[in-house]
Amino acid sequence: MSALSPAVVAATRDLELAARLVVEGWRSGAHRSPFHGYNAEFQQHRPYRIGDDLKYLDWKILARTDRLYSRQFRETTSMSVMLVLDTSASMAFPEDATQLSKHRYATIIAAALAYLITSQGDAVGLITTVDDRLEYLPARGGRPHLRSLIARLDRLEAAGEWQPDRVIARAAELLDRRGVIIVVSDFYDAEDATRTELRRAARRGHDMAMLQVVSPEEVAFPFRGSLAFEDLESGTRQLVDAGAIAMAYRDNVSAFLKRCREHATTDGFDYALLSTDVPPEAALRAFLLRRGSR
Amino acid sequence: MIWRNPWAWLGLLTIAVPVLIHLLTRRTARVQRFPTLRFLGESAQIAARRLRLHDPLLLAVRILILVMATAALAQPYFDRPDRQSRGARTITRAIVVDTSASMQRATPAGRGAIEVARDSARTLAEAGAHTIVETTAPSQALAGAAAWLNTQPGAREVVVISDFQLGAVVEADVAALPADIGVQWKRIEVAPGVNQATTAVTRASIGNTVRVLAQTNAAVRAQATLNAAIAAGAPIKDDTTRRVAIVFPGFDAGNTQPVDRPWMGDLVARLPADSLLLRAARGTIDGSEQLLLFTRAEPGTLPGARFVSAVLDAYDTAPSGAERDPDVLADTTLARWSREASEAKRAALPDVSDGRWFWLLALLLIGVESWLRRKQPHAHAA
Repeated sequence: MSALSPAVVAATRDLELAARLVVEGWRSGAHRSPFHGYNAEFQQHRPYRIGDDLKYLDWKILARTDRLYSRQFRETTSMSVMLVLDTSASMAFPEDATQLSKHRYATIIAAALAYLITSQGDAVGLITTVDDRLEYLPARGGRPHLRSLIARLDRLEAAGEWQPDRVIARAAELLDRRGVIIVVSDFYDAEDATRTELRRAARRGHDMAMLQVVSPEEVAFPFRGSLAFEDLESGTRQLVDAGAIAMAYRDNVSAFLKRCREHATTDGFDYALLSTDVPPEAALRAFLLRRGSR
Repeated sequence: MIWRNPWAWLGLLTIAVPVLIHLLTRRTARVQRFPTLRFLGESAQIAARRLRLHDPLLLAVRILILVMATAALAQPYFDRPDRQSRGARTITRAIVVDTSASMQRATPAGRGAIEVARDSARTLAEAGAHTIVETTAPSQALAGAAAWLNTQPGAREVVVISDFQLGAVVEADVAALPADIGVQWKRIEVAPGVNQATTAVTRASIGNTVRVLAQTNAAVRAQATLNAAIAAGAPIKDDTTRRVAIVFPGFDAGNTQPVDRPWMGDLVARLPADSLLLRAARGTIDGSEQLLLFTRAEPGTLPGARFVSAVLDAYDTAPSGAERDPDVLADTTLARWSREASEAKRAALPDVSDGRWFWLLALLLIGVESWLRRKQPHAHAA
């Protein structure tokens, strides 16, 4: 299996094609659906047979009757997945046209997930903000909806600020059944409020996943000299001696990323750190395999 | 090391330029758009009006470039030993060879002093441009040598080859030479025993002692004037404390007194037994007290000359009174009058400079500076 390089993916202007490339590349390995559980409806018990997944063993019956029974489910309705996409200006980094921006990377990941979910017969929706206005596409299945969603993704631009807590809360409300909420963001904004809303959504029964997108330059901080750093979202500037603060900056970023991972683990969320220099296909595969093994 | 253009060091003032550029770079700091400033830290923020060096290594390299360029413009000259010898070969010399009577004598090795002097002059002449002046009066030839050297470019030097009898060269001659002309003295040693073969020796007081050689009686007689002076009992040593007169037969010395001065008795005692001395007395000639030595030898004859010589030898070796004047210029005097070629060498430098090595260093440093700037890959990203 060959991974598509970020450069190839970035060069693929057709987002649907890019999503398909990513998913098909990942799919070439045999696997089972990483999205399962909440959307499957219990149908019946049957005696346990050797080879059955112990996950489906009914421990309560075993405790009561000392007999082994496996539970069987029927996928009556499709699973609903809500993609929450950060379109704040910070996602526009790096702005160099020759490099894959975080926004483009996140868009490709979201499109690939939508493609994958739809192809499994599940429903997928999208919620984000455009000019401080919520942009919402309800979770549905089917190819036409997928095309619509990808077209919506393709039109999105990274600009302005966003309120992650507000968007996540809204996503949890709009997802009428228990489903999966996947937040694709750099999680720079409103860290505490975001965590609070994620936990609240989880308490509502949703399966939460955090895909944190970062650029290598944000982590490595290879800058030198006197630079006026301008915040992509607020436009404020800070003049720093980049070489002098590089070490402290890296420490701060590492601590932040570690904190995000630990919070996700503590709260029972899926978490993946996606670096834009890693092929989206490989990053998605790692995330889905980890999720599928839960 | 010699700097031929030391005023170029004023160029070091240009060091202020990169320093100011570094200090004022803040005003032209490049803008780097970045996702968030939350990790930059407040403490690292550069105060708006604060001046600070943000890349001391780069600044140091830029300053070094200017220093190297300035040093190159100052036209350095490395004064290495091999260059000194090479430089010596390029000195233009005026070689003055003393051919006076004193140089007619032989050297201790047996060769004629003039012949040795000429050989020495030829050896010096092989090193470069030169002129050789043979003269019986080196003192007078120095002015002409200096005049010729003044027409020559580069380093110049006068070389005088002589036995340096007193009076051959005087200090005023050396002082008259231009300051940028070097001066060398080459002494030709002559054998001191050469006079043993002489048959007649006389000396006369002409300020400094001059030895006149005469090989035959005829030659002695030819010194008529001198001998006449001796015959007349004239003072033969210019010593105000010890005056000696030789009284030949037939000269009326007037009233005489016994020898009662210690130095007179001492001198008489030093005369050899067969010195033809009749008697010694103290008398007055030309108003001054003198030791009168009466001899039976006739003036203008070989015995007369021998007696005069014996008296002079006894006089010169007498321990009391003033010391005998030296026959030749002392080595210390010649050393004091010498001027090293280095004085003239400075004038010979204009055609040579080692500035190229500093230019090369400056070029290397420019490469290092460029590399250092490129080491900041994202400083220009904005």
